[in-house]
Amino acid sequence: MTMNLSMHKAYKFVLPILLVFPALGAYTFGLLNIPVLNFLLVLPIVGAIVLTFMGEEGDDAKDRIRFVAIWSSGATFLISLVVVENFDFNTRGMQLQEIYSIWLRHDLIFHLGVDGLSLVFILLTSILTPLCIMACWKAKHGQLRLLMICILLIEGCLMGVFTSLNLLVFYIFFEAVLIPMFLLIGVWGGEHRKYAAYKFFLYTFLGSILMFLSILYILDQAKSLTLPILFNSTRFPLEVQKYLWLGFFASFAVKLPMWPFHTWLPDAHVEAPTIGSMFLAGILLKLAGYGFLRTSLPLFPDASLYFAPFVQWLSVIAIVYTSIVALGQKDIKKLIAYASVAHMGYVTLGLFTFMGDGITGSIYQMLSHGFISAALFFCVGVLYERTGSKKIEYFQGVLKVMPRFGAYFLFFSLASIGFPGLSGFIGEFLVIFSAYSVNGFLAAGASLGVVLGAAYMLWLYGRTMMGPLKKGLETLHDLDRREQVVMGIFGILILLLGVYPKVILEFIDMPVMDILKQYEIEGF
Amino acid sequence: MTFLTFAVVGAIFFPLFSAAISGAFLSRFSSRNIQILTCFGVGLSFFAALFLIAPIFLEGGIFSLKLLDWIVVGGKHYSWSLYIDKPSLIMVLMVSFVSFFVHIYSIGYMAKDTSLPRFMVYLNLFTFAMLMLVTAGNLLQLFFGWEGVGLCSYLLIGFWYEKPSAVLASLKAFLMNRIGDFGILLGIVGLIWAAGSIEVVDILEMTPASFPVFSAFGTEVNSLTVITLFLFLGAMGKSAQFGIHTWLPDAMEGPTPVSALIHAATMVTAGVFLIVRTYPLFEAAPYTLSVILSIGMLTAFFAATVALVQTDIKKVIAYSTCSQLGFMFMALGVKAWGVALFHLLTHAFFKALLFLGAGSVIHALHHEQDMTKMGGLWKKLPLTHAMMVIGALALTGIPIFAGFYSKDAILEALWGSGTLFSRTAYITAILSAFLTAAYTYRMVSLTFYGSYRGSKDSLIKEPPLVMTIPNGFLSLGAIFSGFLLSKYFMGQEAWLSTSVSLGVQSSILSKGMENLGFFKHTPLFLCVVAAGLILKMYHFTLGESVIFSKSWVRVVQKFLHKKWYVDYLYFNYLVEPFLTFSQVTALKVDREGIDRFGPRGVQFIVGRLAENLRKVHTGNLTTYVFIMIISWGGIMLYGMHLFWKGGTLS
Repeated sequence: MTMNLSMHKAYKFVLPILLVFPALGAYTFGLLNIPVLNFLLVLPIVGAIVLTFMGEEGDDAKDRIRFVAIWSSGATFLISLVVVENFDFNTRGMQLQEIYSIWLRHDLIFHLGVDGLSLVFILLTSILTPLCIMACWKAKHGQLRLLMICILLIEGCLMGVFTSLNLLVFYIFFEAVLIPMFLLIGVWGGEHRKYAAYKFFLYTFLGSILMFLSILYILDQAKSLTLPILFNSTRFPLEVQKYLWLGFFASFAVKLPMWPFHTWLPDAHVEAPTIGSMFLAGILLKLAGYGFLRTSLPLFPDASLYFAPFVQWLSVIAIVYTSIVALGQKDIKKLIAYASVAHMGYVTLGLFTFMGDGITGSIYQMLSHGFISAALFFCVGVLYERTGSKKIEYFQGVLKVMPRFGAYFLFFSLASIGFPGLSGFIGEFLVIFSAYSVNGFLAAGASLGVVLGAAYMLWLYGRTMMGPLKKGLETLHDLDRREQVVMGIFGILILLLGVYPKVILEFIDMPVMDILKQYEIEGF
Repeated sequence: MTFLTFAVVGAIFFPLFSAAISGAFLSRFSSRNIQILTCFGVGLSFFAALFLIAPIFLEGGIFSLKLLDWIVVGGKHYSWSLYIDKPSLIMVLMVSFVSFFVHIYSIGYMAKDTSLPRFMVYLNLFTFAMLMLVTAGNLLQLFFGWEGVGLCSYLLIGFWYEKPSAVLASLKAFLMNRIGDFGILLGIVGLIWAAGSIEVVDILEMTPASFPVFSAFGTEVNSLTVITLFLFLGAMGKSAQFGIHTWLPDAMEGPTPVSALIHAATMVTAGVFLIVRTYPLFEAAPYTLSVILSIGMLTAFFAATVALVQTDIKKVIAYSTCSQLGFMFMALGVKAWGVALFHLLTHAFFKALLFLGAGSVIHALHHEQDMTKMGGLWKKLPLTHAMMVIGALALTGIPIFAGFYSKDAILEALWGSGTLFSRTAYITAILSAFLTAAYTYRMVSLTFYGSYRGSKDSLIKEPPLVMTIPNGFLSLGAIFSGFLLSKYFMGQEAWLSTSVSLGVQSSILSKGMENLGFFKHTPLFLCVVAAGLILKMYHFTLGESVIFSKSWVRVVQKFLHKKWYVDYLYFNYLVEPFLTFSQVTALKVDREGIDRFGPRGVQFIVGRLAENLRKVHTGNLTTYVFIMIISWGGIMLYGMHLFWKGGTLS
């Protein structure tokens, strides 16, 4: 026991030094004009590899495992800050490009690079991962080592998706994320975890096969898979674009998910452990949005315009329909999962207005939803850890025994329903505005989501947190220190992004202009 | 930073600071410290606002200040900014004044509640949000304040969250308001689309003749009409106008000081303020104005009739608030926005006074709100009685008291506007004024006169000074505000209007005064008649029971008791079916429809295919060879076919 304690203290002491170490290295590299982007990919994977060689018997070993996990994800966060530091916001196009020819063919290369758009998602990933690890710090999961390996692999793959400029490498990472995620659900999930895991994997993977075929076709025709080259030089005829667009769409629509391809999501969420849900809603859902922005919109502008009304109406249906479905749920996690689908509806609606405001709003909505939904799923996790239940009817009047938790839960609920001053509002407002410019009825439909969103979230809050305290819940204890820190960080981020969104909006301006350029629109 | 800037920023942000500090140390500070801190925050805010009187009221200046960038996208630039002209300073002063006294009153009223600190923090936060609303430099920030007050209202209605009725009421309030927000949001985006700006400065200068016209459903629609209607939908939600009013009476579940501050004096008037703020738009949209007039008319009359049969003292005042808001909207409907603002101000004083007075009664009777268990209290609560009577006189429009000036002005404006429609509104308003007098005096006489009908054993005594003093200040407002201020709001020289013309208002007011002549005393006369009738009914020959024994009266009474069946209809024909619908959608459509025929359908088909394909693997060697030969033969034939066509295989 004393040994354990001393180990713990040693970690606390050593951690800051070790955290800063790679970051300082990367910073120096940046000063010396040596590429730093690869650190983002490599560090989490290094962490995962280190973990594979570690034992996991005893409390000490568990502490070591957590230590390595938090170290590599924390250092990745610091490195993402270094990348931001080296980034020039006033330049269009890709920056900090790195090329590694490890493939046999000259057109299949490991080509990294970022623009403001990727940076937003890199920051989202690198902030969320340590938070997720902290969120499941004490969770009584078996196989802690494997869990942490999965988390770090997910982070590494995500970084790969967000930094790679080669379409095939992009696709490989895009699909590789599914494997650790599949394990997260299948190993640490709930009762029907196997069904949910297979459904998640097969459904999302099936969609991607069509995307893979499209990529092969592009390679064959354009003789290149490098995105910046494709943007500038290749413009397929409309008929071809349509098929390619549909191929990509099949993958993205399932992953996002769009109505009516969303039914895997509630199952996956309900069965996934808290940490899995946080990742799934926080980042994985955004992959498809990022995919639209990185591939479909700039590569197939004519087809995108052609299919725009179709996507717009699907989005509005998603917003209204899933909000109504969310209202009828009996499980807290399912409710929030459906709410996620509705929020993703705003994303696709904004993207396919082809207006600067709409696209910016979509990107912002993805970022903000990443934090908000992760925070909400963490809230559910807190309840689940204490009671072992996620059913709405199981809870009542929890506010009485968990006032702090109640305050945070209300805060995140408000953020989720687009309360002005919190981050959810900015995206929704911009999207609704651009939808109004396209068609008033689209905007009206999207605004209905605002009303319905309040209905399901606050009704949920009223049923679970308020009212007389239910028998058997008297012994629930309020948030402990660690949980408060995680909630507090989420809260501060959401508030900051809501009050002063300029910090992020600055990132987005240039990439949005780059996309609009493909539509012969200059400026906003 | 000049002194003026400091005063403005202080006036608006002091409550936020005190709320943030006391919220952060809610469990560490003592209750007394938090009470002092929060009262201090609001008091300082009022004090700082006083310094703005000279530059804005006397010198006619306009103060605007940009605080921080907010949403900056492409060419759009919305910031956190303040814009204070005369109407908004009037609101700032009124809000911080009433709020300060409600804070102090709460210390006494809620003394025995252990969560008083939380209550004070919510009140503080509310004050901040309300101040943000009235000083907003653009509509987006106004929307922030709008939602902020809505949230605080939600938190305060549900303050006693262990009461299921309070939970439902808070939910109802928030959701009904959200319906209004739907309108505001669309109004704002529509305005950006049509005019390119939602800055208050620009809106006040707008000449909306150039708004685009679009066609929908085969008719030409001016986008201005649509935008103003959307904005009005928002105003209706917040100001509890007929149709989405049902949350306001239920909001009485909250503690009484909340009802006084939020659901009488400040938040519910935000709808009126919104329309005043964007008046140039409404002025140019005659269709919307007539909608406003008719909704206002309906609300004023409806709420007054329902108030007539309520037995809960707070509900009477709540319906009265609803009705008075209807009066304000009627004034807005005939372009007399100055008068509407004036009535808003006087109403804030006397309605807050009435609520706090009712709170004192409830406090003295140990949380008894039922008027049928009161009576004869004037001897035991002389001070409270006096103040309630002042409030009642002001509400019913007895000369010298505040309501007389503002309500008569509304009636004159309605008559002077001269159209058939506005004269109908005048008749309705007169009737509503009559009913107002009736329900007010009914409430006063049930509470204070006759004999005591409650339980005998409880001790009834005047509430402590910390509760009576705020009432005293508010009664000063209820007595003098009308008499002293009427010339500023209605005078010929347009003091109030810095940018938006009040020319129409002064002309219709003088016309109304001339045309009505002697008949402008009708409301006063009717008020006296109503008072007489009530006295006769409750204290002399006719008992209430005698009247209500008649069958047609009983029918009417039931209709009013059911609040015109609006709640009943909503709950049974909208809410319930919608919830059922959502559950059916969740189970049948989503699970049994999309999921079953989507992923699970594919799973089923693939399973079947696999099952069938398995049969091919018979283990019989001849079958395998046969299949092999067939396949190879097919491939070779295809290759030859390509070859003969001259194509290539590679």
